[in-house]
Amino acid sequence: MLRRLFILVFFASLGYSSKAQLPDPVSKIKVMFLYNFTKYIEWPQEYKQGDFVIGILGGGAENLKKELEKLALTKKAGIQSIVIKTFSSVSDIDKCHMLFIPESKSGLLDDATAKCRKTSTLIVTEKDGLTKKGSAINFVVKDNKQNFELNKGNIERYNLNVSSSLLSLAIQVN
Amino acid sequence: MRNHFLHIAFFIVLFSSVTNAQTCAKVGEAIKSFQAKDLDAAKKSIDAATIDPSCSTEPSTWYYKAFICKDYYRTKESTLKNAPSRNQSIEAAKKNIELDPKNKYAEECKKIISFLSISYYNDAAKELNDQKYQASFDNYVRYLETVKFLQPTKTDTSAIFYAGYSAYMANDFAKAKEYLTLAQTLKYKDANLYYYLGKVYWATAEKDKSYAVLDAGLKLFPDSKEIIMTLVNNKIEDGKLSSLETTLEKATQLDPKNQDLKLTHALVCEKLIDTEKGQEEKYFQKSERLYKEVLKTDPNNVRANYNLAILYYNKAVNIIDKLDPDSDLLTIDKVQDQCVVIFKQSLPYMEKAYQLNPSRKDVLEGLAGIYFALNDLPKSNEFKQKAEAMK
Repeated sequence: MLRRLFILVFFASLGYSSKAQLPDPVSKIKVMFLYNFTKYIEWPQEYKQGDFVIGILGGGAENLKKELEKLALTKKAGIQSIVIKTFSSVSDIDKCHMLFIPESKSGLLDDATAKCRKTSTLIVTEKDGLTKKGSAINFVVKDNKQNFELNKGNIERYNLNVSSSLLSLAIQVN
Repeated sequence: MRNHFLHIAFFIVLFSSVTNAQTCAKVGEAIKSFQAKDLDAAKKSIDAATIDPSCSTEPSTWYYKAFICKDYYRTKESTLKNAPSRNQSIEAAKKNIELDPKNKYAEECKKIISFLSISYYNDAAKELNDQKYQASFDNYVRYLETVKFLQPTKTDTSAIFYAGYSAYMANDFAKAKEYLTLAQTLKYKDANLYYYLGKVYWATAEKDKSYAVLDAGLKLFPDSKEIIMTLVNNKIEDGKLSSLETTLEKATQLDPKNQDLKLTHALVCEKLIDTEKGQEEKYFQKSERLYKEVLKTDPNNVRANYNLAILYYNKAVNIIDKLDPDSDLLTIDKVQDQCVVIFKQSLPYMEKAYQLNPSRKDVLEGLAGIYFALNDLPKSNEFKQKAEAMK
């Protein structure tokens, strides 16, 4: 009597692999820094009403924008609601408390500083050396981490006050 | 062969004692032809006799038909699929017994049925091994029917199981369910019964029944790899990760050298990090340990290298993602320090995966992601471009 069973054991899971998480950790860290800057920088009285506007110059910072929008849903800058705006060009730059210039738009820094000259806008960049070219705060990489340089003169030029705590934590550039 | 001669000898003796009493001429002709070894003529005559009203009420007519057809089957149709003569022989033998259960040929008819039923069984087993599943199923069923006729209270649970198994392999899930369920009811003891019945229920989308049968099977056969692997596959398909983890734990114990099983277990633990609140660290450590166990015996396992790299990467990303937006700058810095260490743990495994298979897009994207998280944009862009070039 012949008796033989053909037993096939397989794993439905063999094509089943790990997936990397979607959040962009670098943008998340930068947004945490930006939110902290709202606490350590003091804007003039006329900027303490209405929305707290964070502007982004041009494209190229989509992940950062998403993280900022997420933050704006739950957090405020003092008592002001946070609003995120994208300015497609320098001429579009409107009144804002902070202007973030992505690395890809660094070439527009001069025009942007000129445009914001008579305002109280904190200009934040992310390319080496830009605090020496007009940026107030510049994200830099040190030991594989995000850090920031700060040019006190470039902050005060826009009628902004910076707390000593922030100065002590920043890489200061004159 | 010896049995065959004995049978014919017996038949001749029997014929010589009954031919004189034989009232049906057609039966007499059949016997004469049989004695003259003309089986075709014998069969023709006996077939004619069974539809002749003057013969068909005689139990002996049916006995002779059963006997001649059986011999016809053995001589001419034993290799024929669904040989008509075999079925005719059995039907004739049954008719004899039905007409008069106590007639003097009844015992001989039972022997004919018994002999032919075994031939059904043997054919079924052969067809099963030849992977002719539908034919195998049909013959198991015929065997079971004839056995039931002879001994209504006796059940051959093994044949019932094999009928169900053949039906399953022939994709006849309704019949498979019918026979396998019957075998289970009759307490047939074989882990394969539970394995296949579980698979049948799964195939017919009766998931609860499938789990119940497989769980019952595992209680009876705790060492059955087949049952446990089926449970693993079903739970993966079903997304029942938490209970799957327990099953995998058991499966890994049963089959500790099975790398795929370990990888699956590790991956399930990795998934549980996201779903089992408060147990994230436990599942992270378990997943990490399992991947490392695989890599210890198989350092060039691309999947283990890749998955372990992603496990570390995701851990760091989760830490950053869950960071309270109100965290001060010092806290952010500490978290970054912590995550840099973890991203750096991830990197060598992803690099190894890349070294083993440089054309895997997910590995290239993984490297781009890790370097990006380590703020090494030139390297991140290099791998990002390689990944994009693969589209």
